[in-house]
Parts: sequence; C-alpha cells; structure tokens
Amino acid sequence: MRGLSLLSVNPLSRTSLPGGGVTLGALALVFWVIGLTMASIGHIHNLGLITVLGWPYFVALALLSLGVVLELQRDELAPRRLIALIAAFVVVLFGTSSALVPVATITDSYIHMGFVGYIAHHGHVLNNYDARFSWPGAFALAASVLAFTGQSSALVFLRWFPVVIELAYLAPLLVIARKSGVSKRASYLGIVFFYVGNWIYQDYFSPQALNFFFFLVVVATVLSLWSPLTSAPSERSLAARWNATLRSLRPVRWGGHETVASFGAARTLILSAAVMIIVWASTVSHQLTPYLIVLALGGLLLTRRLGRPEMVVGAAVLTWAWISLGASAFWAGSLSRIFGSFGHVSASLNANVASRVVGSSSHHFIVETRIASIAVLFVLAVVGALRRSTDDRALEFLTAAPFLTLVAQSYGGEALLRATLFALPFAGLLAASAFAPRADGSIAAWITSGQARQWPRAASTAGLAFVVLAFAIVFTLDRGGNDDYQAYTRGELNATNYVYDHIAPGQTMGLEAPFLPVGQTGLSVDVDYASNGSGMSVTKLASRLLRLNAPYVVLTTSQERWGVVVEGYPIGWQRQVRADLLNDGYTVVAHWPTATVYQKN
Amino acid sequence: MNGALVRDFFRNSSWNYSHGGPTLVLVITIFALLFIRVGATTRTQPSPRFLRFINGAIVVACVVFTVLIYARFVTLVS
Repeated sequence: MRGLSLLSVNPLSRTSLPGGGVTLGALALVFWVIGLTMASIGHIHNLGLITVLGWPYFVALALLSLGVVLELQRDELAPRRLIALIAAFVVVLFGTSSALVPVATITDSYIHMGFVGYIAHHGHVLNNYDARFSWPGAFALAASVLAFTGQSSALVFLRWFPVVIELAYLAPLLVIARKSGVSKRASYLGIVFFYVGNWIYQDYFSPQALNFFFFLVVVATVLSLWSPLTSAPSERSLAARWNATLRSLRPVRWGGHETVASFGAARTLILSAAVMIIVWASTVSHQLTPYLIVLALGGLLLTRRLGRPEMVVGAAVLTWAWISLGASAFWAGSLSRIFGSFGHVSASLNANVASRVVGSSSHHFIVETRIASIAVLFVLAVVGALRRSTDDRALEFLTAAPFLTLVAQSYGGEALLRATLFALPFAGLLAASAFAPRADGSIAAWITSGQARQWPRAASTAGLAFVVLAFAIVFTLDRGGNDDYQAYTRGELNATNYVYDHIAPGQTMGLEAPFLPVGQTGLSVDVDYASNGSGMSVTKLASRLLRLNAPYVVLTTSQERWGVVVEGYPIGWQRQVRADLLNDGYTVVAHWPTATVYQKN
Repeated sequence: MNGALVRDFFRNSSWNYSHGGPTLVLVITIFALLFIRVGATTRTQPSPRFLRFINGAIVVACVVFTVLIYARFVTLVS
C-alpha cells in the first residue's frame, strides 16, 4: 500500500521566514493579547467562551498552528523552538479563560479552596465531612504552600492554576514523547494533539490536576529507565504476531527480564525509589489516579518497558493499604458506592455519555462536538498504531488501559472523561504517528508506507496546519462550552461571601443549582441545591428551593444561564423563582448586577 | 463459597479487628521483601533457589494482605 506522509521532509524545502515558526508564534501572542483586549466576558452566550472571542484570537491560533507545522518540516528539528511554540500554544489555549474571567471558574475549585483553608487554619482534616478529605495529600500540600507564601486564602492560586499545571505537564510529556519510540516529528506533534484535544477541564485547582502530573512523571521516568530488549524484526503474518503476543505472558516477561536498563544500577535504584515516593504521594492525594498508575505500570511491564516488577506490587499495596486504612471513613457503611456498579459497563456508559447529552440545542451541540473531537483523535490514533513500526506496544496499552476503569464503576458519571484524559497523552502520540509514522522497529507496521509519497511543500504544510487549527478551534468551543454558566462574576463571589459573613454555623445556604463560587470558607455552613439534575420544571424547582427552608438563598446570573443552557428553561425563567421567594417571606438583603441575596424573615 | 458465611466468619471470629495494625505491619513486611529482592537482583546474580524463596514470600505476604484488606472491608461495612 502506498502511504502518505505529511511530515516527510522535502529535501528542497527550506523555511524562508526569518526565525521560522517562532516568529509566527511571537506574532500569535501579539494577536492573542489584542484579542483579549477586544473580548468582554459579559457578552458570553449559550456556546460559551468562543462567543466572546474576536478574530484576533483565531488569527493567533492559525499562526501558532502554521508555526508548529513549519518547524516540524525543517530538515533539522530545533527542539527549543518547538518547545517555545508548544508553550505559547498552551498559554493561548488554556490562558484565555483565565485572562478574561474576573474570578476563577468551576465550583469545585472553590470547594477545594475551602478544604485547603481548613487544613491551613486547623492543621488537620475534618473527618466525616466530605469523601475528598479521605485523600488529603494535595490539600495539605496546598495548605503548606499557602503558609509558605504568606497568603491568607488559596483564592490567589485558583484563577491561573490551569495554565500553570498544563505548562507543568509539558516537561514529562516531552520525556514520554522522546522515549516512547515514535518518530521525532511525531513526538512534538503528539504533544500538540494532546493539548488541542484536552478540553476535559480537569486542570482546575484540584487534586486530580496535580495527580495527573504525578501520573505523567511516573510514566516518563519508567520509559526513561528501561527500553525493550529487541530482537530481529518480526514476521508480519497474523500467526507470527499472535505468537509474539502470547510470548508477553511468559514469566520471563513478568519478571522484567526483557528490558534493558538505560542507566547504571545506582541511578536506576534512586529513580525507582523516587517513582515509588511519587506513587505514595498519589495514593494519599486522589481516589482514582493510583489505580491508573498501577494499570500503567502493569502495562509497561507487559510491554517490556518496566524492568522492576516490584514497582507494580509496591504501587498496588500502597493503593489498597490507603483505601483500607486512611480512607476507611469514606467507604465504611457504604461499600456499594465503590463496588456496587462493578461490571455494569452499559450503566456506566449511560451515566457517562447519555446523561450528559441533555438541555438546549446549543448544549447538545457542544456535548456532541466534544464526543466527536475525541472520537476523531482516537480514530487517528488507531490509524497511527496501524501505520507505525515500533519496538514495543506500550503506547497502545497505555491508551487502552484507562478505559478498564469503566468496568469497575462510573465514578459519578465522570469515569469516561477521566479515562479519556489519562489515555490522551498516548493517543496523541499515536495520532501523530498517523502523519509521521516511524519506519523501523522490531514490530512491523500493519500498514506499510512503502515509498511515501512526497507531498508538495505548500500542500503538506497547509494540510497539517489545517488539521491542528481545526482541533484548536474545536478545543476552544469544547473547553469553554460551559463557561456561560461556570465562569463566575465578582458580584457572584461577593454574594456568597456576604452570606458566609452573616450566616450562623449549621445553617443552610440555598441555591438553585451548584453553579456558584461556594465552599471557599465556612465548612460549618451547609450548601443545598434545589436541582437534583433530573430535569424538573421551573415550578418544581422553585417549590424545592422553598422546601429547603434555607435562611439565605442566592440567585445569580450563572444559575439563570445554567437553567437556559442545561435544563432548557426559557430566558427569564428566574422571575418565577424570585416571585415565589418574595411570596414566601424572603426579602432582598444584598444585590449586585449578577447576584441577589435573599433572607428569610 | 457462600458470601454470608465468609462475612460471618470475619465478623464473629478472631479475624475480626477494627484497627489497621496488622495491615500496616504487612505493608511494611511486603516492602521489606521487595527491597530485599531489588537489592539482591541489582548487583548480583542470586541463586534460583533464593529467588524462588523471595518470590514465594512476597506472594504469600500479598495473599495475607488481601485477606486482611477483605476482613477490614467486611467488618467495617457490616
């Protein structure tokens, strides 16, 4: 089969632009800043962040896409330039929301801020308050940073946290890409695919954001420490491939003997110990990540990229020991929360996919676009897996393994999202291999490229830049799709702070839905919601809000927008709720343009 | 094996415990065994007999660890 290689370097090609792609990157940042000054978050519409971004933002994306592709087509790759361009891409993709919103997005980031504040002020966790306190490592770390920096509140960390943590991911991603066995050009393109595909928004101020970093560092270190013991190129017949697969089940493979250490014994031991310390930190910091680390380590052992089976055993023991001892407050008396849905894959998928495709037509469109963009990336990953020659199948395993968690449980309807996130770095590298597959390796490609067709330089540049740009634009739509009701205003933050200043411990703050900056202080205050996520009418929602009998109720623009976008309520639906509150004896005690606080007389 | 019988066994027998001491001791034991294995195989070529012994010890420790974890689950849940 005659193959296509969009990143085959044309020997006649030379980029004539002074500074190459970096010049385009610098220009892109100028356009991005212009775009930020032109945008007003107050004019956001149903489709979210993308509706307030003007043409300069998209010019910036186009210049960055073109810049990366031009750099990838140089005869000699310039790593520093590529890293600078990818970093610029990260700042534009993940920093736009942070730059435009007056306060941090996502309710959970404020709740986590409250946990951090509690530990900082009391020196210990609050038992039996919230399941997340059973994995307090990340909160305790943030509390330490809080004390170290002399801040009185973690609010200062929240707004720009996504950009900082995404930039932190870049270092282990570069190592993973370099050591994963894909071609050099595919390694950088794969990282770009990871970022433009990562609309999943798990990078807000949260333990999972930090633990994803831990996960990447663990995988990067293991990939650096061991290479596969390669043999002569294998035969390409189906029977030969099947026999090779069966060989992975031999004890010699599970003993880690089919690997070659990249460093001396002392360095290998020190780095292995460092990995175990990181695993330990992860087991006390997050519910899900340690299991994915165990899966990844097991897969790396199976695919001849881990020379120490002890690490798999150690990671599994640490994970189970913590849930048995440290986190018992979470599951004692309610084990079905953990294992009740074991094996119910279809129910898990329904909770993860079907239940999300609800609400207005715009919300449908965003959710379907999210699903489609991930599907396209994974289809490209399959093509890349078929096209590439390699020495091991670690990337394929690491891409597939996170989805095994769906068998265990739905993780509150988020397991598919989390599994996708953990698969994305490796899927990105495989997807990049669809464009620039490695040609040599002991495991032959399923689809050989043969004499790759040399595309005209302009066509290959434009084609690949278009693919990257399309992903980047869809990313902007997908990631910012909820910002219409999850990007909060300063008035909304002031409203909840007002309630926290006046409410008595043990009393309840009533809300229509969990889309407000709450939880940042006062863990002794209950926050209760009228919505239960089941799609009720406005009348029923108002009735349930009154039944909460909360001394304070906060109505905001974000909750109004949630009703329109997610529940499909008519514009202005909150008027009925306001009237019902006033008829029930509530009065307005504080008001901002985007928030009103009601108090029961 | 009947699940209720297993639960009753852990609930009513001396295996029933309410603190993590035994599990913690076992975690330390497993890690000690892992360290010994890593140390023995890093610079030297240990005898097959020693390897069989240390591997067996790790497997036995892990099985006991699993039983203790299960005991902890059923006693705290029930």
